[in-house]
Amino acid sequence: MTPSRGGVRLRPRLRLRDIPFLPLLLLLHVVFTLSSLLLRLYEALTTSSTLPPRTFVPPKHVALSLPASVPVTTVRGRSRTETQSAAAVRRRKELELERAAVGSVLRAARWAVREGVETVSVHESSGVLYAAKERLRSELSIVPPSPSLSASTAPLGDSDPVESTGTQGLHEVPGDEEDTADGHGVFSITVFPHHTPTSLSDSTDTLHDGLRPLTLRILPPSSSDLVARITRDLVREGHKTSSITQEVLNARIEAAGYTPPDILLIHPLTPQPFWRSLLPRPAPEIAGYPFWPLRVTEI
Amino acid sequence: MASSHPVLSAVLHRLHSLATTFLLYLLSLGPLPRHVGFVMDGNRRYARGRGKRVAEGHSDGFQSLRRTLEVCLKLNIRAVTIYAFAIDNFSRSPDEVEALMSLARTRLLELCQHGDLLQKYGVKLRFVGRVEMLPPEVRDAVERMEQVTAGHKRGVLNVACPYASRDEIAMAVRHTVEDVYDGRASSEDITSRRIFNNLETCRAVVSLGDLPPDPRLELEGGKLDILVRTSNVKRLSDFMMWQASEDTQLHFVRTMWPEFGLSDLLPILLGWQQKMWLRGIGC
Repeated sequence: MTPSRGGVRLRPRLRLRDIPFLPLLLLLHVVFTLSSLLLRLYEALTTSSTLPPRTFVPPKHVALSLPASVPVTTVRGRSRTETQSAAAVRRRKELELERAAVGSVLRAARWAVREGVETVSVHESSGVLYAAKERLRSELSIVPPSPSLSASTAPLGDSDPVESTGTQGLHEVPGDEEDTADGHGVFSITVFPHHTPTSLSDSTDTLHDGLRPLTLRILPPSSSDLVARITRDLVREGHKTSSITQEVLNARIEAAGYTPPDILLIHPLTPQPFWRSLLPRPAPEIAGYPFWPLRVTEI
Repeated sequence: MASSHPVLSAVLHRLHSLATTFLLYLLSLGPLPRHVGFVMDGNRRYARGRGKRVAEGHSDGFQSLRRTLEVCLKLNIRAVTIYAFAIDNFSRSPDEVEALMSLARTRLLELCQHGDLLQKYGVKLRFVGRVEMLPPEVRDAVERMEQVTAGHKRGVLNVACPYASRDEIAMAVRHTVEDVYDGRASSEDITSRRIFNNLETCRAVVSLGDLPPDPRLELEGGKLDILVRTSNVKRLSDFMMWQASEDTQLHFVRTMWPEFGLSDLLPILLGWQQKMWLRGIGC
């Protein structure tokens, strides 16, 4: 009996006469891996990393999906037979994930404010980010005006034009919370950037004039239940089946805080092990980001 | 010398065919996806780039579909869903809509006929979407195609035409609500799983009968393992959004659909195999 996952056999039914050909399949994968590495190397050497021009019009709504690099089941969840040391390892991994998630969102918020993005929606499938939403709110409220967290220490005058005009900070104001009564709704924070002028303040800089408040939305991990919740509401309210249209569903889903993003960025939360990065880059997966608003979103 | 060219050509074709068969055999030794979706994009741009009419682009696109479908069937990929026509596409020029309807009516029917692909591989054809919006002669052809292939159980080809994912989800919600109102289910039975299983594409896949559920994701057989969109467009465009929302590998390839073939599909399938092996060892 071959082990399976969801009906897909991890190992197909192999006959005796197939076994001598397995090394050829392996060779095919080696050739595939090497050619993928060469291609990535070529792209890295020939692609220039230029910043977008300052006339760049940012998307209004950016969505982030932060899948964990390690399988979720190895991080969250408690087994009845879990030993103390296993529990300690699990808690440490959870803390690492939480730190990575909160740090990622803070960096994303700074970037969004700088670029003039109006809304950032973030989804993290294991739930550690959603569980840490209050911590995120408090981190946003105490973040002082500071330069970019970028590691570059370019000399004055050569630095990023955004930073050379002074510093920016993030000041959180409790915005509209779209939490539902059971606490599984979209958690929304409005972030107001403020500017501390310095002697480097440049009167010709127009970026500060364009700084807008940012709406940061932390989406619950189990957004797949959204359609089911709305369906139960429709039944409870006694709607006729003929009146249930995609427009009705859309209105309710948007009212719950799930508005369509212009672009969805999928980025692993934690770096992969080195050996894994040598293999061909895996194709992106939506990893549970709420699907309904993604109709015409760039992925 | 002139007479050796046809012989040489025949030999080369034969060698190519043998090499392809051997390559597919090697692939089949590893894990393969159960359900693959294709957004067949780029027919018009392909035609315009070559100075052809748009209708010719769609016709070339059909040839690509046939090629790709044959590869999937040889690999025993049980379910293939193709985005043939979006509900929004009715707003295109009448000539183009007529060309597409004609393709659906004639060329797809060819696939179902005796000796052709679907019969050869025992694959059922199902049209999913708002079939009632199709012209009457196309609806008749759809009915014939579904009847001819109704007894096939080895696989299913879902032709999403005319289709929109949000519309499919709304329909699944309506069916679920009907179940409650008719007493076949209670409000407590309204779960994501139930609504998902009411999606038309899922019902078509599960109707094959032997696809077990996916307990890890609490979803049934309609989930997509791989979604491929050609012509470098990186959007779902209202195609199987729910079915592709978890761990479906999304491949947005630069190739235009009429040029898509095994050389494009091969790295996609190899990548999927690596994902399955890595998952099997817990990475």
